[in-house]
Amino acid sequence: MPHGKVPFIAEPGDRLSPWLRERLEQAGYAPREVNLGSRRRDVPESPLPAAAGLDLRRLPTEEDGAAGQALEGELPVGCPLLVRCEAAPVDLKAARLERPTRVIGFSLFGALSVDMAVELVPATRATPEALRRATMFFESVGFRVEILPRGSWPIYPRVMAMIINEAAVAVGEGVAEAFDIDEAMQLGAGYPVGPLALADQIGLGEVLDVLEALQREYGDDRYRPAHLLRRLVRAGYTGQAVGRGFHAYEEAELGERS
Amino acid sequence: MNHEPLDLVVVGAGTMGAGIAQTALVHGLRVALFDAMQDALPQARQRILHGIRRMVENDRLPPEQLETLLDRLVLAKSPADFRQAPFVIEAAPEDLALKRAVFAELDAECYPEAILATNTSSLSVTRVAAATTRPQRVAGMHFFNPPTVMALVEVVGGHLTSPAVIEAVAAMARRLGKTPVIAKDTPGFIVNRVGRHFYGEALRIMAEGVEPRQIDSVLREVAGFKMGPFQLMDLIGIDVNLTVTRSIFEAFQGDPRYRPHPIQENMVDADLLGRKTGRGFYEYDDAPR
Repeated sequence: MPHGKVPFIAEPGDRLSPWLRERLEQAGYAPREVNLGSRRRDVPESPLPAAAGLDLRRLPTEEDGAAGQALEGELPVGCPLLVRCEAAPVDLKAARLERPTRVIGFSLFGALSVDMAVELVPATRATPEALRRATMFFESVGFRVEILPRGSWPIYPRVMAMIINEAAVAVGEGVAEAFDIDEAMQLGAGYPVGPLALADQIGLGEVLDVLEALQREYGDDRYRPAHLLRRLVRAGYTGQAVGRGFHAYEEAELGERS
Repeated sequence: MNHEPLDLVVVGAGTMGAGIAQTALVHGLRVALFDAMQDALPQARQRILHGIRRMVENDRLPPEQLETLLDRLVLAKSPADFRQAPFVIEAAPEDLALKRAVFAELDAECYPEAILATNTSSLSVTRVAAATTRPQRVAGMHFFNPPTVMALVEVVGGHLTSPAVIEAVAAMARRLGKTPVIAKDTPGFIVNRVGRHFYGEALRIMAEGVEPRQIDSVLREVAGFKMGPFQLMDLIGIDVNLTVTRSIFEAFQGDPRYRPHPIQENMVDADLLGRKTGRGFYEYDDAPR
């Protein structure tokens, strides 16, 4: 582990995405998970972590915010704080933290399909130095970095969530079968993967979170989630990871037949 | 005209019609091509000949097949020349009144059991079918441009289309070497409806101050699309894209999901239509101005 390059990833609730952990380890980092919920402070051994990240999709609760602030207090000066921003505006997260000037948003959405580029969204008050360090960090992990305007919404989650939602509405209304929709978008429009298969890979809960956040943020009815999407999430059919989402995967099929 | 039975009739000898006829010939079908504008037929035959020659040059067809395939093409002078054909694909321009008139004529002229398919990307199959006395034997067959290359056909059942006819239309698509997907008769069917957001959401992001170049770049690099939405709009034509968006928005009674964006309207008003005018979201030096 290269000295001075230890990021630590704090995440209340869900675990650090396995693919990101793998990527970090390949790049010589030793990612740590800090449990904010129990307020256990896990101070990095190295004096200067490359970056700290909050791998949390939704907006932090008050408690998360307080714990995040405590965590922040442990960060060395100049260490950027990376927060996921596909399902909550980066500034809303920054506002819950003590030093919004170091907050840089990033998007993990879709990282499963093509994972060589990452979108960075600096908080409106973020310093150029925080952005520079965040960029260096992601580049050192092997990502090509796209820096978006301050406080904006990451592009890929927004566009893909809308496409997936439309496909879900179409399935829900019986316009076509999920399989046919995926095949049509690949053969007729050159999509690298069908939108519903992509949703199954990303996780239906994540897609729903993005749509709900967009609808809250813009107050525009165009972002209202498909009823089928909500229904599948409630039923626990959240995608490939559990064997069933818009499509059924092997284990689930076996389960149904037996 | 020789007397072997026809497999397929293509009505409309424009780019789509000629492309569909070429595809059918290459897959061994006997095809009649008809157009009310008889002048269009020799030109379409030339285009088909050129297309098949190119396939021979690219080793996708043995040279000796060229003549055989062209012998199987009949240029029909009137519907009387294809009265007994079992399957008709109409590929007239996207104009409902025109298509309904064509279907009324086909219905009167063609063998009662013949299947009549309309190649449309945006019109209601049910409304086209209603111009005939056999709506149960009418279906949509949405080919993608160019039909000689694109593998997909959306097979669209109208409100009264029988399931057996939908299956027969899908089988015809397979005979043409295409992959059929089955969709209900709803605005935009599958691809034009689901794909709307690739453009609509990108335009909204642009309106918030993100450069089209960056939006395209993210959707290529992060999402793996071959082209970004602004490159594609420039290629398709911003006016064409707006027309499709508007027609779907209206067909869905103004649902905000399909709302066109004022940026598109402004660009059309300013005659910045994309590649064809030399400037759209990008500038093109090589295009005529």
